[in-house]
Amino acid sequence: MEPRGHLDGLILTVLAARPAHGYAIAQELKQRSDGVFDLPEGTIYPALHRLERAQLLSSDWSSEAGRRRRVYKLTRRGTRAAGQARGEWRTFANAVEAVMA
Amino acid sequence: VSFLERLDCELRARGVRTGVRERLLSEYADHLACDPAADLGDACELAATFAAELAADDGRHDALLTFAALVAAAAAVLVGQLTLGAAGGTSGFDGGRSLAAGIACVLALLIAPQVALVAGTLGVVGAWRRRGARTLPDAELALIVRRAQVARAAGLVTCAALLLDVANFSGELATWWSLVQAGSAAGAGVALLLQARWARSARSTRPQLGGPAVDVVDEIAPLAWLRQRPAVFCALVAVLATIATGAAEKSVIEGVERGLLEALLVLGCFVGLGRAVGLRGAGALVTDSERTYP
Repeated sequence: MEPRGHLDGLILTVLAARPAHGYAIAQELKQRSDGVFDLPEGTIYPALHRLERAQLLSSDWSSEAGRRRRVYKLTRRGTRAAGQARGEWRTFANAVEAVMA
Repeated sequence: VSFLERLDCELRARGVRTGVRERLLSEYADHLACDPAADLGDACELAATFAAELAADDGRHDALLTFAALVAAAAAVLVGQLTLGAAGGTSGFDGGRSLAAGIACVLALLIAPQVALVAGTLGVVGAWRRRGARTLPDAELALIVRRAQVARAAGLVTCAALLLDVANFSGELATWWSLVQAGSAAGAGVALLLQARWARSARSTRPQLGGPAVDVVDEIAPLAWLRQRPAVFCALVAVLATIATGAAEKSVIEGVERGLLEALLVLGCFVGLGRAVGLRGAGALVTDSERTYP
């Protein structure tokens, strides 16, 4: 399953827990969905750049085991957007559940 | 050819600027260092998505920042005009050091601010109405960028005319006025030049997306109708300028003179710049059902 339409909300939700770099975000998405989301991992980076340009994320270089990596975290606006995305999803999921049940 | 080499090649082909490209490549390199067998997707598709989104954001950013710099230029014009009386006033455009400079300033300050206002407003409204779109068709993006370019050029002409005006009347007006006017005009001019420099580097990105340029002018029926009828548009401007100037000056003759002058200027700008700012030519009303927002 490809969660393309919801990728921004998913990334914001993952980053709401703690700052992370692209690879960690991809792994977190895979683990939390029990491997259901079959998204090419490379699509995360254009989304991260887009969210940063929209000022929902900020990022900094960090160094780990001699490697430079970009670590992303939510801005205040991003925290609000993550909450909004979760709220909208719950409303949508409840409505679908009510119809399908 | 490795994934990173292919992606680098695709990003270069789409003109993604160096700093952004290198950062993206180093992030992918880090990802592959963590998991060499990771499925990152198709390099061509990733580069196309990235370039299209970057170009759309840059285009909107360009329009908004240009408009902000134009506000500074408008403030410089207003400050100069509102404080001119307190600084001693001038005896007319022919009372300065040079008659040619006086005429050039009058014409530039009559035309350039109006062109900047129209092009800048159309640009910023066009960018604002598509603020939620991840990507924009090339044609629409080009229209937003062209409007910003025309607005910046007109803003720079305005600032240059203000500075020339200060130099031309420096002996006649109070020193404080000259300093305030020159400082505000120079500040606005620098803001416009800095924005032009940023826009030049941002313009290098080529999204290569098809589709029509859906424009704000097409969505407002009276404007779409006037787009095809420049003579009617100029006549309307003349009537409005006549009424406004006549009321302000309490003189019908001055109103008619100003109205005719405005109509001529608008017609000239319509012919000269109408196509660049998307006010003349192949605009057609595009309905919601025909519109294709990527």
